[in-house]
This record gives sequence, C-alpha cells and structure tokens, in this order.
Amino acid sequence: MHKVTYIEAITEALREEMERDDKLFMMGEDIGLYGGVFKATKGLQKQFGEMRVLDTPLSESLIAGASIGATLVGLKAVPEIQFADFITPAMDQIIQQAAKLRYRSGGSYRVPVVFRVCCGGGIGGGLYHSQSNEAWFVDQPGLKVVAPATPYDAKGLLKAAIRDNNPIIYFEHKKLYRSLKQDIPDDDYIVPIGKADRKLEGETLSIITYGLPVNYALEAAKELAKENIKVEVIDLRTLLPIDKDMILESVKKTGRALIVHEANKTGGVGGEIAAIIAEEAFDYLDAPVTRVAGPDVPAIPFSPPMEEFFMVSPKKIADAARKLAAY
Amino acid sequence: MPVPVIMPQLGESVVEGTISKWHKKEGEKVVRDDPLVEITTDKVNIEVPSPASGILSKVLVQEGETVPVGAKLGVILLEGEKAETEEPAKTEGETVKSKILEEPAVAAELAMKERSEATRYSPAVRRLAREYGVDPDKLQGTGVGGRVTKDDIMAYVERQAEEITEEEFDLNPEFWVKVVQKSVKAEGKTENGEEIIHLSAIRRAIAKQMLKSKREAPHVTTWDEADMSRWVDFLKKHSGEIEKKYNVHMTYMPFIIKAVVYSLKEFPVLNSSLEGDDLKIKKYYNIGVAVARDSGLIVPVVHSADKKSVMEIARELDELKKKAVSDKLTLQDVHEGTFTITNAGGFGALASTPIINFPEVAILGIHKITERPVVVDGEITKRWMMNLCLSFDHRVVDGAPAVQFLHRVKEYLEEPERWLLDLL
Repeated sequence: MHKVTYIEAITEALREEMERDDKLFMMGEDIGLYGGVFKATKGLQKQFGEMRVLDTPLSESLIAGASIGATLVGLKAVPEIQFADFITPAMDQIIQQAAKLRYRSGGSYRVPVVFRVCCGGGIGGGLYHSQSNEAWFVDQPGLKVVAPATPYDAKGLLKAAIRDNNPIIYFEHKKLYRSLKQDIPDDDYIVPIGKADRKLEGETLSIITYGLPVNYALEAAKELAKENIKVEVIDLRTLLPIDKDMILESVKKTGRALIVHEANKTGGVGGEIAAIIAEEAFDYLDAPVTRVAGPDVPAIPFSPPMEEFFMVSPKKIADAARKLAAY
Repeated sequence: MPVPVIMPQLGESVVEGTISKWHKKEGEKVVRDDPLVEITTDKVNIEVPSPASGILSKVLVQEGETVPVGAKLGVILLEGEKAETEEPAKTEGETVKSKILEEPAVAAELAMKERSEATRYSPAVRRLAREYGVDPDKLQGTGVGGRVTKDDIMAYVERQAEEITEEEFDLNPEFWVKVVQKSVKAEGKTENGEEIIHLSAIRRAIAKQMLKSKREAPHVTTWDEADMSRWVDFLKKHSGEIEKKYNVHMTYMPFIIKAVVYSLKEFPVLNSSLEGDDLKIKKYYNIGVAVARDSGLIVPVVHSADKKSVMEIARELDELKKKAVSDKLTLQDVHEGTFTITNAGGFGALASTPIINFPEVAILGIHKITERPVVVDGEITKRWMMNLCLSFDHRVVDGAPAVQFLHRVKEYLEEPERWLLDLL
C-alpha cells in the first residue's frame, strides 16, 4: 500500500498502462514538455518520448479526431481534454464518429479512446474552467462514461477504461486532484466499469451520487449519524452504463432516495436516476425522490460567494437529507 | 487590528501548500511587500509578501507543515498594538473539510411546515399495509404533518406480534405473518450453567395455539398404511425428466395433496370448522402444509388445490417453502386453510399423533416410506410402505367418516388410475 493524491493516482495509471501497452499514446495541450496544466502527465514525455506523449495546438477537434483515427489503424489513445468546458469543438468527432463507428461498421472497427476530461468547479475557475457536462454524453449509446470520486477509483477506473475497447469519457474532477489522499495497493488492480460502490451502509435513506459530491455526502453522513439518520452512500462511479441493480437494491431497502450532482439540475443525470427509481421501485418509495444539484444558470460564476452558492456542499446535502428523513 | 498572514490561492486545483521557509522569526520586524514566507505546492513555489509593516508576533504554521488555502500562517502586529490570544491555523469553508452549521431541528421543522397530509400514503406504506393487513388509518404517524411512514407500519406490526390475544390468532391468521419477524430476546445462563432462552413471540403463539387445540378439540388418531411402491418407482424413473421438462423438484407431497382433495370431496365433514353451534362445511380446498423452521413451525397454504395440476402444486410448494424459511410469507400465504398435512417422515418418523391445526377439524400425518415385508395375495413380499395417521376433532367428526376418509386417501394413493375417472 502507498498513499497518493487523486491526481497522482491518475499519473500512476497512465504510466503503468503506457509501460504495459506500447500501442498506447496520449496527446493534448501542454501535456508533454510542461507535464499538463495540472501536472497529470508530469514526467511521462521524458519517459516515453515525444511520439507517445504529444503536445498539440489548441484544437480539441484535432485532439479527438486524431486520436480516433489512430485507433482505427490499431493504436490506443488516451487524450487529455484540458477543460470539459472546451470539449465542444470535439463533439462532432466524439458523438458522430467515436460513439457510432463500431455500431455503424457492424463491429469491424473499434475505437478504444479514453478521453480524460478535467471537469468541475469550486476552484475559482469561473465560467469556462468549471463546467460539468457529463449529461451530454450519458445519452449517447456507444460511449461509456465514468466519473471517479476517490484516488483508488481514479486509478482503477482509468486502467479499466484504457483496457476497454470502446470510446470512454473519463471525468476527473479538478477540485479532487490535490484535496484527497488515500492508500492504494502497490499491485496492479482495476475497478470494473458499470459497477457502483456502496461507500457507506445505512438504513434511513440512500444518497446516490458520483464524483466530488461523494466525498461531501460522506461528510454529511458523519453529521447525520449523530442525529440517528443513517445514510447509505452509493457512488455510481460509472454513469453509462449505469448500475441499476445497486440503485434499486439500496432504494428498496431505505425507501428514500436523494440524488446529488454538481451539474445543473435540469436535464442532468439525476433525472435519469429518478426515472429508473420511479419505474422499478415505485412500491418501495416512502418519500419523494429528491435531487440536490447546481442551479440552472449558464455556468459557474467567478465570484467566490456566487460560486459557493452554485456548488453542492455537505451542508446542502445534510439539509436535504434531514428533510427527507423527517418526511 | 493585528493583520493575519494568509495562505493564498496558488492557482486552480491547488488546495494546500507546505511552508518551506519563514524569512522572519517571531518578534522580528517586517516591512510591507517584503518576502515573508516561502510556500511549496506540487505545482508551484511562491514567495508570500508581508501584508503589512510591523512585528511578526506569531508564527502559527511551522516550516514543513502543510495547510489548506486560506489558513492563517501568522499574525503581524502594527505599530503600538498588543498581542492577542492564539487562534487555530485552519479556517473553515475553504476546503473539502467544511463544517455543517445548520441546526438539525431547523431543517426538520421546515419540512414539517411544508406539508400536512396525514392520510396520503406513500407507495411503500400501501404495499406494507397490504402485506401485513394493517389499516394505516388507525395509526398515529410520525412523519411530516402526521404522515404514516414505512417505519410506523413496521413498528405497529412488531407491537401487534407482542400483544397477541387468544381470539386474535384463532380467527385471525394475520397474526402468523406478523410474528414471523420477531426475533428471540437476549439469552442468558443461570448459576448452574443451565441455559435460559426467552421464548420468541412466535414460539409463545405456537404454544398457545397447540394448547387451545388440545383443550377444545377431543383428539382421536386413526391409522392406516399405504403401499407407495408405485410412487417410489415412478419418482425413481421420472423425477429427472420432470425436473428437466417442468423445472420443478418433484416430491410425494403434490400427489398426496391430490389424493387428500379427492377424498375430502367424498367426506366433506373433514373439510369444515366448528363455529359456535354451527358446522361450516367449506366448498373450497385449501390445503396447509406444515413447514419446520428454526424460528418455529408455520403452515403455508396451497389455495384451491382441487383446481390446480400436480405440477402447479409442486411449484407452489417449492415457492412457499422458500418463503417460509426466509420469513417472506405474506398474509395471503397462511390464510384460510381448510385441512392440514404434516410430514414427519422427512425427519424419519414412522408414525405420529399430530395435533389438529385449530379451527380445522382434522390433520393428516404422513411418514417415512420404508421397505417392509407385507403379505400380498398370500405371499410375503417387499413393499414400500407408508403410515398415514389422521387426528380428528371428535366433537364433529365421528369415527366412521374419519376412518373411511383415511382409507379413501390410501386407495387414491395405491391406485392412481382412480384419478383418471376425475379427468375423463
């Protein structure tokens, strides 16, 4: 076992997979010489050379398009999209090509690309460096979407994604990079895609969440336990395909569901989870399915108090949980 | 006002930094904008300039320590100020370790004000009310505005199980479902090492029920035996095929239930109950089958056994047994039995005098099927024999119909061709 931060876990996964598979390469803005703006690829160009760790111009459509093209001739790619906010120029490549090529070619072509996407707010990034846009991808069959919340999951899910033969969007939350440390195994391990994780057991209500708010939910749970509200925290880890079984199992047990995500409420992943619960666990519900999410405003503001107003927090989660428990 | 030295925000995603060097010691003079402290992060190293001129009166974070952004690193006293008492180095709200401030009662109270609909029941409450036969209208809810919650129903079911009256479980098989959930209380040991086990609610109820049956119904047990060789042979040859074709594990019980139902149709008094001075003859055939469990005996019921095929009955028995053992029986499953069969043979018994499942008037005990020497057509030969023991309530059932009924069960078992008449 050794202690790593979330971002160190990502670097480790990249290094180990690059060593394991010489068909794997990465490209992105400033990932080579500079080691990435967040230092996720620190030292990798030095180790693997400029042909496998490529610096690119500021062009997400190039990063995505070239990565997809390279996989069609047998390589594997793990490009970095420096900010989720700037993934829009690459949408055509991701949605029209990556997500559909395998289907369209009857399985002749595969697109093993893992897009590392740095997402999330709470770090004073303002409008264009704070967005969480996972919902754009979760309605795209053909893709897989993952969003780890802990260093252990970050490493295990990234490895699993790189070894998968499908295009995967890997959302890494910037605020988690250096705010969490965790003991992880020294040996090779993966976290299976499509499997949620029960981060905490409880009977009173189920909090279903992913990414940064998982940690906030656990923090809220500690406070709530003092008030005899026993929270179960389900960390989805994968958003597409979603782990229905664990969601339903948990909600059938507690009868109360609180869904939490940082992205704004309308059209978010939470709506899909609520629908699954309503369709398949109706007879077990003892309270309204509730969502705690960002407000429906165009983006996260720069001003600290306004940013705080936008962000999900342990307090917001705890208040919603208390209401739900008392219902 | 003393001026605090604060750990600055060092770029996106950096939430903490390590003090690598203090350029000044406590008590030394500092000049505004001069380098004061050096900070290292895994992204950048920076010099933090002094925010004011004066005396560095306190160093709150030592070299080598790591603190979150926004933490207080030290205090500068302006000219002519006195030192204050020490403050903690960490601030709140800036890191993932924020504190939850709102009083719990406040949130709950808000929720209380928002709704008050005591008689709107959630899907979970409706389902549990159905399963346990509880009327939620009668409960005092503990939810918002007096709403009856899932927990209120379960608490009521628990309480009911504790307070069983005799009448209740005579007439009210609900009780059998309710007590299923009860667990054994704490156990202990006496001074001489004897073990004390408190009776669970279900055990107490069984005791009461048995006592009542024995007290109210004068029991008589009549015996007969059936030659089961053909069934033994049949199952030996066909049970694998049945399992494959119908996906059901076949036992003798479904055939015995069938034989019992045919016989009950011919002797209706055995399918009745005594209510006051009235004998109620049932025209439906709901056959209870006793199931042994660690927590206590329970009798799930195969409803309308006369209308079901052997396969349907076999499947249902499987299902009921599974439910019984895992405490998942519903009220419906133990409701309205008209006649009971108890199988002591599974544990090896050769014969028994079973106690009637009150308020029914008879119970059939079936036993181990053993190879025994018997006389057939003047010859001694081997046959697979099974003893049948029928206990009946002598208040309403005379010996004659009871013995004839039992003999009829034997005949149906020994000559299944008789069933064909029913099917033709």
